[in-house]
Amino acid sequence: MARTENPATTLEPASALPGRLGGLTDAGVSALAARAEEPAFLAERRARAWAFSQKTPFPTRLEELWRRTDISGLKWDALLIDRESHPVARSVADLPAELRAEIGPADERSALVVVLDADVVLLDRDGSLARAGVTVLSIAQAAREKPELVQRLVGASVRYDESRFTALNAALRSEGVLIHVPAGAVVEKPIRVLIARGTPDLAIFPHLVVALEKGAKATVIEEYVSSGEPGVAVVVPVTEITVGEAADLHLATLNHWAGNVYHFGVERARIGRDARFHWTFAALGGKLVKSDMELHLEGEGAEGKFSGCYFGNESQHFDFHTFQNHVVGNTTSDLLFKGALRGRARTIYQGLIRVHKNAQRSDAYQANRNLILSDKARADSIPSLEIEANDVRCTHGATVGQVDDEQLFYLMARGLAKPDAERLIISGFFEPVLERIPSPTLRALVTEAMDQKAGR
Amino acid sequence: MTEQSLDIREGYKEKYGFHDDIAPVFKSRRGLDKDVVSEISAMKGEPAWMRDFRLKALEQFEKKPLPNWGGNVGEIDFQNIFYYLKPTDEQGKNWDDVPADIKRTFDKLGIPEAEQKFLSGVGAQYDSETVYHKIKEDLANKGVIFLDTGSALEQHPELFKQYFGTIIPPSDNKFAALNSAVWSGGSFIYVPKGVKVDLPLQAYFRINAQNMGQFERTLIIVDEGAFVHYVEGCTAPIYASDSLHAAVVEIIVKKGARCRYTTIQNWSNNVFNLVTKRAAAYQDATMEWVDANLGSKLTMNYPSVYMMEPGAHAEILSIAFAGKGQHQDAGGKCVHAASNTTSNVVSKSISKDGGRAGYRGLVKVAKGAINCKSTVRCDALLLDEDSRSDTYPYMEIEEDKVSIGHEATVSKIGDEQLFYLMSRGIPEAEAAGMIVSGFIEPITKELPMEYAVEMNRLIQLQMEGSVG
Repeated sequence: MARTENPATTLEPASALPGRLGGLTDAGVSALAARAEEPAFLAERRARAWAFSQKTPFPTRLEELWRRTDISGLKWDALLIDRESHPVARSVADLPAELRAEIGPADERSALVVVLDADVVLLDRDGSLARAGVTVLSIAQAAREKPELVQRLVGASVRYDESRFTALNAALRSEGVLIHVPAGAVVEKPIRVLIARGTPDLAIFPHLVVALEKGAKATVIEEYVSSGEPGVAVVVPVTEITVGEAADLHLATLNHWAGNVYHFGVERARIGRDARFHWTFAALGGKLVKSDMELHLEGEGAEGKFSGCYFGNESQHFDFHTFQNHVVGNTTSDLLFKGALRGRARTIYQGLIRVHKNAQRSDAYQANRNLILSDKARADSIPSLEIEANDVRCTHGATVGQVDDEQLFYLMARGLAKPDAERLIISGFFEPVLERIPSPTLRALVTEAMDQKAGR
Repeated sequence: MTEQSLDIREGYKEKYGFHDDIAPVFKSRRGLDKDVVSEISAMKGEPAWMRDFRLKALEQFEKKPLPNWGGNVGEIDFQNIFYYLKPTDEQGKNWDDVPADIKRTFDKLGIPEAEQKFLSGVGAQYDSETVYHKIKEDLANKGVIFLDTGSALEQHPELFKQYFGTIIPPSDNKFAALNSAVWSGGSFIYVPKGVKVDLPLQAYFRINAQNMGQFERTLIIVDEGAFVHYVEGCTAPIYASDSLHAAVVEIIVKKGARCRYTTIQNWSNNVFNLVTKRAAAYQDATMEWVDANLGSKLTMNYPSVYMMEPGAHAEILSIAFAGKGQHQDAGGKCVHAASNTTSNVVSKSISKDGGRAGYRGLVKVAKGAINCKSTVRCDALLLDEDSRSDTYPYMEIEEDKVSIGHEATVSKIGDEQLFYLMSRGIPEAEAAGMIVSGFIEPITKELPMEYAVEMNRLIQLQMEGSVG
């Protein structure tokens, strides 16, 4: 769906701007920064990150978190990392029809940002946001208008020198999005960030920064979509979330990629004193998805809740890593991650609860439930605990099984055909997670996509 | 077994931490190379195939990297270790044949007494060689073989060669390769079809010398419909420098047979205990590992069951107790390689005084293995704020018709439980001890009674002065 009305006529951009990752030079990285009209501190960060990426190899299967995902066949050098800018849309009506369907009615949101490939093509904000002092801007624009915010928040949670992926993201960052909610501000309707791609062989590096100050409250929907343009599609996103003291954030992350996308993401939330962070996650698309999702409980009374689901079919490969990091005591985390597999899908769930020394009276829970619907599918589940404080309550559980025969029998005895009965059971399995998606349109879209996968 | 025989840390120095000044009849030089390996083989008068097997294994050992997970094995100085130390020329058939100073060690450990009371046979290994080995006559008459592994190579070469190295090839991991190169001692057991050995066979492993490496090799074959329970115990003196224990245990449990293997590992705190234990269970066979890790500086030990044919069952019961300066990386592996196989894992780990204990396990269902069931239950108890507990369960499922579950909890001693007992007049330390005993009860109840009583007693001892 991510087609532009003005498709680029040349994929190889002209002159100083870089073309493919293979031939990229320091000058090419500077050219990216110059074109984004970024202040010096961001351009310098790009340069440092680029230098770091050049001396850091991609992870291999020798590393524990990469043991089950082999990316050695991916030809990074051949990927495009730049293209001509997409024209800016004046309103939702200017966007391609497929994107419009995804977006739904305006009264379901307070803001909409659409990032297509490397460009922010739409920035549509409700007047109430400006009145409340809420910032929703591209990072480049925010850097010009509110440099102190960008300086404080960009790279504050995910450092560029953590891996080659975070380095490439920082060096080659597509136009990012910054959302800042000032102290005490309450945003009633969701702020939506739609990240779409449509150019063949292009690698994109989305960056989303969300920060809530003391006592603020907001809902953010982060969505990844594409239409399956030909070629290899690589996405290396970074999401940085800060939930300040007594703030309350609900983030919904929906991955709806087409079947050709390779996704290597890091999403990290830092949760402050007495703050609440609820994360709803659904993964449907992509050829290979490798995602780190981290909750860092950094202030007493912090609470992190993660409700996730994934459905893999055909030859999809999902490798999820979650981290519930109890840095201080009196903190709560609660993670439920449910998955179904069909076809030759392979899923890996690797989760870690860490309770630091002195993080007494932490309460952590982690559950991974897998439903295997085909004899060719494969599910690995590795829920781990590292506990260094004794006055804690930490439990975890993981199951791998199939659709329950008794439930199936019950429904079939009431006249349902087997496929329908199965679909109903699967949909019941996912419902507790899907019902948390904070937009009726999206909820319906994701539920339908899940049902479609279940019915096949 | 005498009262003292299972004590863990408390009083370890007095009870097990002693050493005897024995002049060994042969000691290889420090370090490891082809010459040392060839010399060990020559000393033992082995056939050429075994010498070649050892030399090939040495190449594997040199090639393989150290594991980069689990505990810190980087500080082992492989060139500072004595790989072979022969304490005496002759193996005793009764205790009077054992040299007096060595016998004294085993007397202190209560082995001869236990043999009289409740064992079918006993093997005692001192450093590299077995100094005593005996099995009850009626079992020998039924065709049960219970020998040290070196003697089995001599006396039953065909049977030996058929199974040796088939379950754990030298290339399996770095420490299995090391064992394959320098192995010495260990037990060889063959139980013929339909024979049930009703009392346990026991082996006792003792490291006496400093900077010693003990590399016993155990091979157990339980033929169709047979049963055996093998118990091993181990202790060592306390030295300032480290010793290395790298055993390999291979078990074959044939159709309808059952094998139980119980380990009470109580090495001193200067021993690296890096062990590879694996069993292959065939049709309707049952393999049970009861694994208690109480001693050592670092233990990396994951007894495994490969269920090769339908109906096989695996049972793994694991206790890990880590005190000061100890890291117990214990666990188990259940590999469902055939349909209709079941496994059950119960792990209890306790960390205290800054110790680190945990569970690392694998449940794998291979492609084509349907209707497999597995449950894994891990509980951890942290007794103070300086200690650490880890749980790393791996589940790799390649089939859809399965039922696999894992559950784990980590907690401290419940205040309510403690209050309940104390309000009935039980002192706090004793109450805590009772709670810990209750915590590990699912496993102690599977031990032979003498061991269970002892285990409970020493948990009490261990808990004294630890709470409050």
